[in-house]
Amino acid sequence: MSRLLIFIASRLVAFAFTVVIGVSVVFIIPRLLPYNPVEAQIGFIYSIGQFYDPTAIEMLRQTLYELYGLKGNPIEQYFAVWRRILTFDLGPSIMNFPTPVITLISIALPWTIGLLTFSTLFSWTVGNIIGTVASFFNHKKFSKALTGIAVVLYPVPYFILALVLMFTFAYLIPIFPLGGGLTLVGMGLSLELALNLAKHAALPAISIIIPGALGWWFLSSYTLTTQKKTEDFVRYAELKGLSSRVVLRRYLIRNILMPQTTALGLALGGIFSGALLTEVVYAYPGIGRLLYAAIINNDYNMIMGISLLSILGVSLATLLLDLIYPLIDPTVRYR
Amino acid sequence: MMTKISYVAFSTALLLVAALLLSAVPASYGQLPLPAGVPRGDVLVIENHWGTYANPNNWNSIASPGVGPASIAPGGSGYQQLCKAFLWYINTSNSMLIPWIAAEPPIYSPDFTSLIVKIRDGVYWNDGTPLTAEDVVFTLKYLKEAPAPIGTNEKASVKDARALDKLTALIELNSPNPRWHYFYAVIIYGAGGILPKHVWEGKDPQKFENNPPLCAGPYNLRAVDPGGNWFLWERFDNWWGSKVFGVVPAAKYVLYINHGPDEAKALAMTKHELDALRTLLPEQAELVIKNNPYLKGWRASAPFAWPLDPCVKGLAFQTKTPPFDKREVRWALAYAIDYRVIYRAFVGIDRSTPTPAALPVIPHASDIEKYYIPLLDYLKQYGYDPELVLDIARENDAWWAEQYPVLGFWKQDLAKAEQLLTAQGFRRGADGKWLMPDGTPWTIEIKTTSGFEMESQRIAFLAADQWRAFGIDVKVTPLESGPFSTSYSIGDFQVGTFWPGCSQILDLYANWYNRWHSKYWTQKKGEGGHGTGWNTAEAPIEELNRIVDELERTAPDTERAFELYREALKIWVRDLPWLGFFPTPFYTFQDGYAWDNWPTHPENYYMDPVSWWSQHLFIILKVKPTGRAPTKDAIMDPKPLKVANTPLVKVATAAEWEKLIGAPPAVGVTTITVRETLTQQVTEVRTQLVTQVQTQTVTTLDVGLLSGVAAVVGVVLLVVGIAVGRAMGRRKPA
Repeated sequence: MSRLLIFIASRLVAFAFTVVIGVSVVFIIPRLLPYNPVEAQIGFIYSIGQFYDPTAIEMLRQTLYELYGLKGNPIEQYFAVWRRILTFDLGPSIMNFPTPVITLISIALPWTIGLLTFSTLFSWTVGNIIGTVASFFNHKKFSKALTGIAVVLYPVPYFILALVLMFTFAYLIPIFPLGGGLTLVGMGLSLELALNLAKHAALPAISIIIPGALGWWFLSSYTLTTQKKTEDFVRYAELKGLSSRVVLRRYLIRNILMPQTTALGLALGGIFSGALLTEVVYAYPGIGRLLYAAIINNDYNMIMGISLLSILGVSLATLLLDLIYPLIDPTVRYR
Repeated sequence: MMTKISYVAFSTALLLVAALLLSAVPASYGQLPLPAGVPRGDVLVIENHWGTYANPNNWNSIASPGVGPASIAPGGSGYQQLCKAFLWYINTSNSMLIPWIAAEPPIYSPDFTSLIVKIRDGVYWNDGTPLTAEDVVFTLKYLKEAPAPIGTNEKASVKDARALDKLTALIELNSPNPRWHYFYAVIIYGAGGILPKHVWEGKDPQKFENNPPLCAGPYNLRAVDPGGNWFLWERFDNWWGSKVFGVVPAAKYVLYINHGPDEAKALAMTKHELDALRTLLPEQAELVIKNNPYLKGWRASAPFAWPLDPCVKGLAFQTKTPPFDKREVRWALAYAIDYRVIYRAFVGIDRSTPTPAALPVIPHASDIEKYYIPLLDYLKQYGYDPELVLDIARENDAWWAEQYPVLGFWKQDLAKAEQLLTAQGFRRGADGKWLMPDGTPWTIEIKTTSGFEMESQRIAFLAADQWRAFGIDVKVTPLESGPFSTSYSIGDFQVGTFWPGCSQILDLYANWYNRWHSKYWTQKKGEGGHGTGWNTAEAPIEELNRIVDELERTAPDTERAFELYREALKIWVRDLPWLGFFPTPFYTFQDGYAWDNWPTHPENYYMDPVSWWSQHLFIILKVKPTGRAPTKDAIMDPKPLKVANTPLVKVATAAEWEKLIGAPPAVGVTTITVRETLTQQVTEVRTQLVTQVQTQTVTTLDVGLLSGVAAVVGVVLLVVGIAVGRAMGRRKPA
């Protein structure tokens, strides 16, 4: 029991440590960049050519420094950030001042979670199954075909793939919309709403699933299986006369599941940083675009808000994996 | 039992679910976000060029100088085109004022310390409440009292404001200013708007969301994308303008939509799912030109590009950083450039050409007559060649080539460049490359754009090539918009493709203000504002200060003002603080498939074709359905809008002014008797409001619903995952 407690405690300490380091790095880096949200905003006002009183511009500049929390030395700002995090108040967004960061994240997050949870889990499951099966039966024709497809698909730049999909299924055969997350639908929960959402999410999801399932997850599980197949315990099972189905299910899949589950956990944790390219190409609302806009506009508070989510996402995923490992891996459990 | 579930069955189930989701797509479902049963021909579809709005539900137009759907800047939501209450617009195609909610131009006191604004009789908000001088007074005082940065202009300039009667407001200024009304006149993009007193009074100016916004325009907000990509506006049939001007816009709906990257916009335009857009990169423009036979641009047929964007693009020098602080060095760099090469590089595939602009003045016809032609002899002293690119312009049918064959540029003169540099102590090293006066090799860094305004990046690379050929090492640094704007604002650059030379109207002061007078120069290098001025406090150009001082006491559009501008431009040419080439052409495409009567040059040029400016309202009020797309509620033959274009200001004589403000200030103006016809309108309008409220509820529900769906999906997946995990965990090794 005490060994279990020590195990859990050490993981918790590592978790806390990761979060502190992560937040500190996210605090420091935007402040080292050669730009400044107030000056960028003033520059923007100049560039749109609105008539401003010269003294008013100066007043604007001074108040913005104050309101954005950019006055005071970096140490004070750093502790202010921690105070905010611990009180769950991430402050106002600078680029959408004075809307709170939390409000903006809560608008964008459901889209990202919906799209990425589905497409990540789906491509993980399909990719691993076909990868393992294809590797186990690597002498069969379908296996060679699949490997060929994967090797071709994997290195295709995502942007190209996404545009090809858009051109094919939104223009040549217009069954999906060009972009966006939702069109106008009636009130309340309805089948129409669900279909509308699905229709808009379809192309973005396919564009993530194809390179995911047929690319990375396929290739990695294929390679892992190929390697495991030659190990003694598999040979032993075969010599025992077990059917190939049983060998595949009980000896191979379970063994490659270990590293793949770790990778899945990390991928799921990474959802919180969004899928920028997908969101840009398909004008899909989500957290990736928000983060990109925040970085472009040097919106410190927003960068901190989204990064914090992402840091928490990945480190919580790691923590959970560490804690769950004993459940799925007997070699860890019996240690 | 769980253990019996095979992986094959599990994956088949997942595949089935996905297939169901993906195939459940009725092909007949409309691709645009429109209410059920609305035909394409009832809708005007305009690009939301701003992109995804992070918070599409905040319609507070004053709290942020930034990027909400109602802020002045982005213009992608339709708010400033369709809803906002503007007193005046300026018609950029002829530099005249269009009084809108105001009945006439502002009347200034003889000393320019006060002005009178007269409101048009019969203007009301879309809920039926009359829009009066009280609203104007309220707006100014509300902004003045709100915490900064809200209302910085009003705090700095307005001493007091009061209503003289229901339709007349008197505004007293802190200091003389014959151009104060530019804060409330749309020059480009937008301007300050009048706030409805009965909505904003008592509201927290920072926190009030103003959702849905109360409009004074021909459309009301009908629905908003919870994802922030589109905004749908519905025609308001009881609009005040319909009563006053007798016009009703043809389109029942106007949709502002972000289709995604340029590629998606180009596809949308070839599918006729987008009627007007901002611009496209050349490759995408080509796609549209080749595949949309109904296409129009600035002209009805190729060349399409709009050549009069209000900013001259080119290179700006940091005039406080050696060696660029010497005008001889700046001129040498100008003479080292072969303008023909740069000009030719910007000739489009449809033969679109830029309009050369050697002066920091956009060469509209009237500007050519007021500035370019009168200054021609002076410009020639500096090597200006009016025929430098005339042959290229003629080949490509440029709009100005026949009528105004005077637009040229500084001719390349390498000998003169050499001589200017040598006189400043520069010399060539053994390898032929230039050395600075202190003997170190001369390397110039050009900061330029990356990911936006890509035309400016092309300018940077073209100029770099030419300076390299002349023997100077050049490094080009592309920057994203944040660092790019910051480096300009704090003056952290040597040379950059910034655009300080903007002008939309003949009265150049609207864009000059703090860049041209040393009294507005308060910063030191590295502090904000450094890069935006060239007449500095450290080395003031007294002659220029004198001119700007006089301009600030001279009414716009007077002959004296034009003389002063020409004098100032001469000093600019002598010093050449930046080297502007031309406004870069914009492919402001307009699709003639579903809608017609777009403004086209020269035969129907009633407005610049700029869909993100507030002035686009006048285009929306003029377009007509072609009949190619099915219609139901569109008006097939709308009445033409006739609205007066007036001078920019009126200045009263002392006697007239006395008479104007002579009447004792009206007290209790708020208790206005609403005329009977108006009361009638109120009832009608109420229905409209209810519709709006319902629509908003839909939106809120969608967001909540989405989170709900996401949460449920997440929980289900988690449960499935744990179950599978446990099932596998319990297995005994075979």
